[in-house]
Amino acid sequence: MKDKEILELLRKNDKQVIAALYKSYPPVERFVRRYGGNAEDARDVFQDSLIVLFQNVRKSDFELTCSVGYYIQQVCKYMWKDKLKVKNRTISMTDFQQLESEISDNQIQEKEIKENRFYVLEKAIRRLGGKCQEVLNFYYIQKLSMKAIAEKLGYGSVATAKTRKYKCLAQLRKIIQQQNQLI
Amino acid sequence: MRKELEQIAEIEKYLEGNMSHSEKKAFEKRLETDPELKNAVTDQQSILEYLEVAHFKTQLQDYHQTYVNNLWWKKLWSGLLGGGLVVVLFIAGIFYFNNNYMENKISENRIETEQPAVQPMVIDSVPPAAGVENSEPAETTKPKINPTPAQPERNSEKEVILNSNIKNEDSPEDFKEKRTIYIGKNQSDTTESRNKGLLKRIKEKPDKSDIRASRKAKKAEKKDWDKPAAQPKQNPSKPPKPELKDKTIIKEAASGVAGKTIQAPPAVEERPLPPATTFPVSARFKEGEKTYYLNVNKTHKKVYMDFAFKLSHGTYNIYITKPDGKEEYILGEWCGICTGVNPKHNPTFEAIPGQWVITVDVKKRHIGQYTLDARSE
Repeated sequence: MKDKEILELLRKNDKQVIAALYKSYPPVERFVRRYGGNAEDARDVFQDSLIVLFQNVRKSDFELTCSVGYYIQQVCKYMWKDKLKVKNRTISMTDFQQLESEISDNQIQEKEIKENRFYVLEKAIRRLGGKCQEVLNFYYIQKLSMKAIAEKLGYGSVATAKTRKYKCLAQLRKIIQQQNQLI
Repeated sequence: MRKELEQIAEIEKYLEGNMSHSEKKAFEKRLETDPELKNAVTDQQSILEYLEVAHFKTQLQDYHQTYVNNLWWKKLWSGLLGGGLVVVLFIAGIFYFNNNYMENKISENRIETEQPAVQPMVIDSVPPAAGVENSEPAETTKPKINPTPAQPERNSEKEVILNSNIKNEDSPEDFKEKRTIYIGKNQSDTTESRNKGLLKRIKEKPDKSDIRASRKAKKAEKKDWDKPAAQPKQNPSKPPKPELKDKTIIKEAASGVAGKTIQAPPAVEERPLPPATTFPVSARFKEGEKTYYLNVNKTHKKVYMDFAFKLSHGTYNIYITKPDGKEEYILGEWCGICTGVNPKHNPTFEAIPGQWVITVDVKKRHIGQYTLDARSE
């Protein structure tokens, strides 16, 4: 699969693209293992790098100047370096010197902010009711129509299903606001 | 609440790109002036993004599990294939080295047969002199040992001379019977040990020709009863044949005790010859002896034998007893899972009319199978 196809499928959140992206996993795993990590560390780092690519690819200004595989590997290296810093491990920095020029501090800060926001959201969604979670999942993830959601969840009409969805979103916003105040 | 829901619907419309150009421009203007609306848009955008990312993450985790499982199977299969390859190579190696071993053995045996380092010692038994009494056959049949005239220096440590086929003193032909087995330095260890085994076997086993001699003696005795008045013809050139009495005296030179007289086994009733075997025969290498019979006509000149083996592992010997009582012995080769034909096992003999007995003696723990073909032409 060519890089262009990969990015296009990633934008559409197509399941098939994951297999193509996983071709970059073995070198990442080797790298992480070489620098004191294990298979689980490698998996976490690799999946995080895929999420970064997934988020970036949806941005209108995103432009990839290298191959997808190389991009993933570089992001993984950066992330592993970051993790090692947190763990206070001493490592040879020769492998990471190149990364400094390729990944800017802004990107790092942006990523950290997003991670925090995601943490808050994850908690908030867990506090939502089961029905709300289902409505949001059907609409935003499975991309079902409101008519189909109404039929699936037994709502009388499409309007009722729509109102239910908006109410769930409002409830979620409230939970997030409460959590932000706590932080 | 209603106002809030309307705002959510409006933001969703904006984020999904469902607004018209004018609606969008108006909304973006409001965004610049209304920080609360901006926050609301950011929050809703984050929620949508989070939901998609969370879904993507779930997909990744599911796929990772599949990937690891596939990798495990791949490793297992490649391991099995690698292991299988090693086994195949090992077996191929066994076959290869076995063939080399067989070839070496054959060439070694050829050298032994072509240039014998040990010269045979021939025992020529002198026919009994004329007028010798039957009661003293031991004295009259003392073998005279004549070494071959141009005998080279012997390398053998030990030489055993067998003359077990001498049984009927009245037959001058039988005195030519000789069997010589060497146990010498120049022979390979395996050959030496086999020959020792053969020697032991011959010593222990009652000779078939002995039985035949006793039968002859009994016949002669019967004839004497039938024709008591018949006088033996006196031929001045030939010594008179000594009469046989109750016992046939056999000279056993192999025992190493020259001149020792041994009483022959009791006469066996003559039985009809066993039916000839239909060649070729195929059989498994089963422990013990298996005997095959080949009938040779007077018109035939040669007897051919073919012995082939398949996946053979172990040791076997082949004994060929000719109608005249002479025994040929083919050394069984040891081989570890071999298939093929040992050239040594395809001998050709001068045809002697009568029944030939071919015995395949299989040693312990032998596997595989063999094919034996014998024919006379």
